[in-house]
Amino acid sequence: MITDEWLMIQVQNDDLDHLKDLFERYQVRLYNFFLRMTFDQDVSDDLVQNVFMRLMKYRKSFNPEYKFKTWVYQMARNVHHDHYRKNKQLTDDFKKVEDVADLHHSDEEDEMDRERESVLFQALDKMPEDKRELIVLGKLEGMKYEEIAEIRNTTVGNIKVQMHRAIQQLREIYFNHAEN
Amino acid sequence: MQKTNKHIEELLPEYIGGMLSKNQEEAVKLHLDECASCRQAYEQELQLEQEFSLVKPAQPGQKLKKDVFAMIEEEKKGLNSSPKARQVFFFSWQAMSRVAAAVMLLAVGYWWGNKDDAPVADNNQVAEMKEEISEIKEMLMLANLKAQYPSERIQAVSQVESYNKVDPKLIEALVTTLNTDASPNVRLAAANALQKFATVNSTVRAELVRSLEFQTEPIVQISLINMMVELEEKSAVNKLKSLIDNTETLPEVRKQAQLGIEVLI
Repeated sequence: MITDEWLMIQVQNDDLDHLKDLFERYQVRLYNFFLRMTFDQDVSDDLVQNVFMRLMKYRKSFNPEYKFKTWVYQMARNVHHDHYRKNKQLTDDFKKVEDVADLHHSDEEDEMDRERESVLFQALDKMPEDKRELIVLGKLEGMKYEEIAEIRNTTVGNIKVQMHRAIQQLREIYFNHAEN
Repeated sequence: MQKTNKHIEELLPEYIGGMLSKNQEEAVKLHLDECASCRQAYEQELQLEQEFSLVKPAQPGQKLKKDVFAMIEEEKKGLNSSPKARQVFFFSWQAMSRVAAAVMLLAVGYWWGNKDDAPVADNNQVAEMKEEISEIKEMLMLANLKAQYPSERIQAVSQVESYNKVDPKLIEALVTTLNTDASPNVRLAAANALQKFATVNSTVRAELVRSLEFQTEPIVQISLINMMVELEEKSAVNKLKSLIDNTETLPEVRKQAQLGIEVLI
């Protein structure tokens, strides 16, 4: 069983081929994280690449006493914040969100699922960045509260409270939207 | 009543996730029977959970992989063109200065030893110098095994591993690292390094068997169990049995130990 940390230590020692292994392990997760945060496929591609560029650039600073997963998600958050700051003025529209829901449902049988996803994503899109991120990590990426707490450098107690508030807000947006 | 409503609503994510204690769960259940507004919140959250579970991960295109791999290849080219600069990273500056001091000492010693004799060193002297250099190398490796950062210690382990001599002092240091290092990643690296020596050295094999007693990290435990099987080390069976009997052993580890015993017996 080869751990992420072992692979990253090899990368740290300039064995860069192991970064390809880490890419295979993390590309889908990170891509989806960015996709749910930006609702833009091209931007998500760029941001995943940006994360791997940083992993390579800062490989010497990896501390194997911490989990690689925590480190890589911290980096992904930073990459997204940077992107968000630079593109604040460009935020918009629903259409984009619907396109994203279109991506992986081509069959007609999936029509229902596609519509449901689209409603969910439109609700997520209306949430503040911070709360949306919490839901993406906890509910869509399936992370445990402990892991999210580590990534955000806070306590599990805090995450519980924040998650409750985020869900509460999503509920309000989602069910109001559905009724309208 | 309003106050308690709010309180229970806060517990809903954990209630749905099955993360509450039995007592809390009972309390929430009772409350939901009585309170319509909390019940609505609960039903909505439950529906959201279902929506979340329907979301399928999107697949990134091939272009992303191509771009990232090209980026990695580009960086590799940069590394290959400056192998010396890369080498420096392997040692800390402190270690480098120690090497420099040692080299200088050797040079002075060499000059001192030769100043009255013929200017050309004979084979004996060359052999002596080689001996001293490898002693210095070993000293450095031993020191690096105790370095502050786990990454440095792992580096030291791999230096020992690639060292072409089986030196008892180095083996002993690796065993100490395997059994006492604070970082499981360093311990794992030490175990892997020792496995290489274990094929030719029965003491090393015995140390690996003994180490099963000290390891508490599942990854290290499983690696050691697998090594025992690969090395066909029948003397490990008793240790594997006590690992299975230990109540603190994780089920996965226990299963692996059981499999190990079956193969070894």
